Amino acid sequence: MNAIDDNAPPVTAKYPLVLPGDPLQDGGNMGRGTFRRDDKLHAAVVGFENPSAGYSNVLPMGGPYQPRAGDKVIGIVMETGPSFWRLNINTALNTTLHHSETLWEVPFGNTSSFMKVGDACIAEILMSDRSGTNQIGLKGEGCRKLYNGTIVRISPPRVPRIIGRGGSMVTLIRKGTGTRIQVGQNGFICVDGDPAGIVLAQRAIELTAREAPSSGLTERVEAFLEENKGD
Amino acid sequence: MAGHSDMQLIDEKGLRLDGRKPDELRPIRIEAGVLNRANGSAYVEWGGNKVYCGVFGPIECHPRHKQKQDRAIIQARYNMAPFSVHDRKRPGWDRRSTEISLIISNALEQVVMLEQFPRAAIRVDMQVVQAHAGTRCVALTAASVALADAGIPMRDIIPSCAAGKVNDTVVLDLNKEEDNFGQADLPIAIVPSTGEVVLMQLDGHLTSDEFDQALDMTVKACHEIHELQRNALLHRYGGES
Repeated sequence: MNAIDDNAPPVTAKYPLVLPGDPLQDGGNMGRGTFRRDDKLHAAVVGFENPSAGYSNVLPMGGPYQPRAGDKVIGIVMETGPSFWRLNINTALNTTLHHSETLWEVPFGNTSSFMKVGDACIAEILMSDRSGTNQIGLKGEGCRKLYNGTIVRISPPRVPRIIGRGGSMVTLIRKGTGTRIQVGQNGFICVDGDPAGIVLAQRAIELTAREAPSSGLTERVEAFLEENKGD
Repeated sequence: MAGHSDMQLIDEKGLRLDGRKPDELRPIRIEAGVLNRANGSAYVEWGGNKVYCGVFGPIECHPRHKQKQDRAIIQARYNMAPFSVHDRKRPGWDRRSTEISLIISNALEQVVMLEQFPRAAIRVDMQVVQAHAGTRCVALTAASVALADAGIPMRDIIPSCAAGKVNDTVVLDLNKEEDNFGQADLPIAIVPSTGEVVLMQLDGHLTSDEFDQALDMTVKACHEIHELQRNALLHRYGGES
């Protein structure tokens, strides 16, 4: 999923909003958020049609996180085992993180001295298959345990908007609130800093997520941060 | 039907107690995305009926023995508030709500792309705040809008509507009096794009001609309701309706 450019005309200008069951205009290959009926492509979710590279996709307006290999996500430990942790990465089923996929030397049965239930980390999706199981690891670049911060949850399809083109939106919120922000592709966002900053950042993130489909959002977030600075 | 009586439900002009013509729906208002905590939600006001629906999921399926290895299941829960009817409904599950929850799950399973979420459950909770006959149709109408609002992939949005027979006339969308004192009730839900029927129940008796007439009426009405469902979603997401 590509980040949406703030200054680009709204997607609506080119393609209308489609609803589940609507036929698509573009006749490319079957992409994400679509299905085939009577040899024609139809939308499966509410969203904007978005053809790219010969595939017809529908960019969803909301919905569950669909893991893809290479995604950086934030996981929360729900359970520990003798040699693994079970993490909530915002999918239906918890995901196993095996100790061999970390850089730690974990003695058997001692996983909770590295991460306890409730701890969070940035992990990478190594593999995702159609049986609903995912493999994650902590060896990738930027993967680590998170020691401080609050986790804000947003709708996963709106993550690109939170990041902004080249990270512009998240940088804006970081600077405007004096917080450190880690964005997981799964819609979990870790915000760390002083309490007032965290609260403001959380409100800015929720504003961005809520108004993600509209244009001119950068200006509105800027105005919001300016207005609420020093509250 | 149980309460069948000689009560006059249609006047000399052919109008019903609430002034509707035999093939006229009650006024319907549908709103999507009304609840902030649920993944998706909808509210439907349909004549005297008021129903909220919230969707969560896909989430891990509990109890585990209900999980399907190759797809998700829909766990629908239809519930009537104690204050939704005149004589206070005793709260909690009963024979009727179990049945309605099941038929709504079955109807939704026909359109939701369950195979994308193995071993998961999609929870659909419908709350009838005020009832005035036809709540299963209202609840299903709300549920499919809430599922679309939650971003769950599905093949179509299901509308639902009932027809029935009162004073030997086939009428659309029974109200409370017609439901209680009429001769038959036929709730139906269809997949508009294919014409498949995903819910059909019949209480009372209809001749085959009357049945055909009732079916035609409901299918036509379902297409109208589908249009209202679409408008609710388009309105919510800023499209043109």
